[in-house]
Amino acid sequence: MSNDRIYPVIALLLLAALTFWLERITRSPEEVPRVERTDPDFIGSNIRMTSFDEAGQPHYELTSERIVHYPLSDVTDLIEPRLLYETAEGELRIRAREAEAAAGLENVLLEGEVEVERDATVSDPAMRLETERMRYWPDTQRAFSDAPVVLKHGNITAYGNGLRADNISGVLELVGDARVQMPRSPRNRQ
Amino acid sequence: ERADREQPINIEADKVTVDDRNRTHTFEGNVILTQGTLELRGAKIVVVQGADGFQTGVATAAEGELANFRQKREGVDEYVEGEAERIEYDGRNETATLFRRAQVRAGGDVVRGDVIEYDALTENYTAHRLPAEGSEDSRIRVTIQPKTSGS
Repeated sequence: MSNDRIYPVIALLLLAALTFWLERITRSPEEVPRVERTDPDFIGSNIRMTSFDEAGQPHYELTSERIVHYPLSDVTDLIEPRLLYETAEGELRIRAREAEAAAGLENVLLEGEVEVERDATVSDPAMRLETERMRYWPDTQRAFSDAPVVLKHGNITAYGNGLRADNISGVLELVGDARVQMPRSPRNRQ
Repeated sequence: ERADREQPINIEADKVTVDDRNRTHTFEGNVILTQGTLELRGAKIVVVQGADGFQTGVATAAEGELANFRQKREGVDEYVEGEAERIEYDGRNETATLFRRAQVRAGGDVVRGDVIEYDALTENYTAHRLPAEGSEDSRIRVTIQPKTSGS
């Protein structure tokens, strides 16, 4: 390799050495891997939170006897959570023994004696839904469960091994061994 | 059978879609609707409720198959059986109406036609031929068995 070809290579080597050296001296000494804390970073009791929709109207109220937040997973555990929706047509109440809320409360996993109750309206009898586990999206009222579900609506009882609903107050899909019991309407003829 | 009339309606399926607002339950997958000795089967049954309970059930079958029903006859150990592409069971009037490729069998009698109405209360059935249907099997064919001495 002739002389004038060697210089760029030397210059590059010098540059590499320089950057390596700079990186070494600027590394702060205490950059030791942080111990990830698994304990909660805050705990609340008798919590009451009201959510507002885009129009600024109260959408639902979330109350909980106790909440515990874990920084590592950014999950909040709720003890005895209650969700309450007040609409012109009446109340919708959701309760469970526990719930696990991911960041931003986008959805909650309700567990333990999950109950959904919707008041009767003029034209619609009361609805009550029971299951042991249900994932629920408070803003859209979407619900999903892979546990057995019992749905009572007026004088009708429906059973299934799972639930899918875009809106818990609207159309519900019970999947897996679905069974419904329904009284017959009185006959027109004796 | 008379005793059927007081029984609640039970419906089983792989899946049910409950639309409370429209009072409709849509059952899909191996659907069996039973009321006492009456059994209605199909791939899909759409049940409409009245204010106080079951009102109508419309059963349809998978492509190429037939929905079917059977019911025990009053006081006799015999069944009335029927099948068709579509069966509408009206709980208030206790009638089943069978549409397209309809057939009802009762005690050896066989009735075929386009539309057959079966009255679960009186156990009578009447067959209709759709006018200008044109297809060869649109005629009503009734086979009446000679009454055996017993019945």
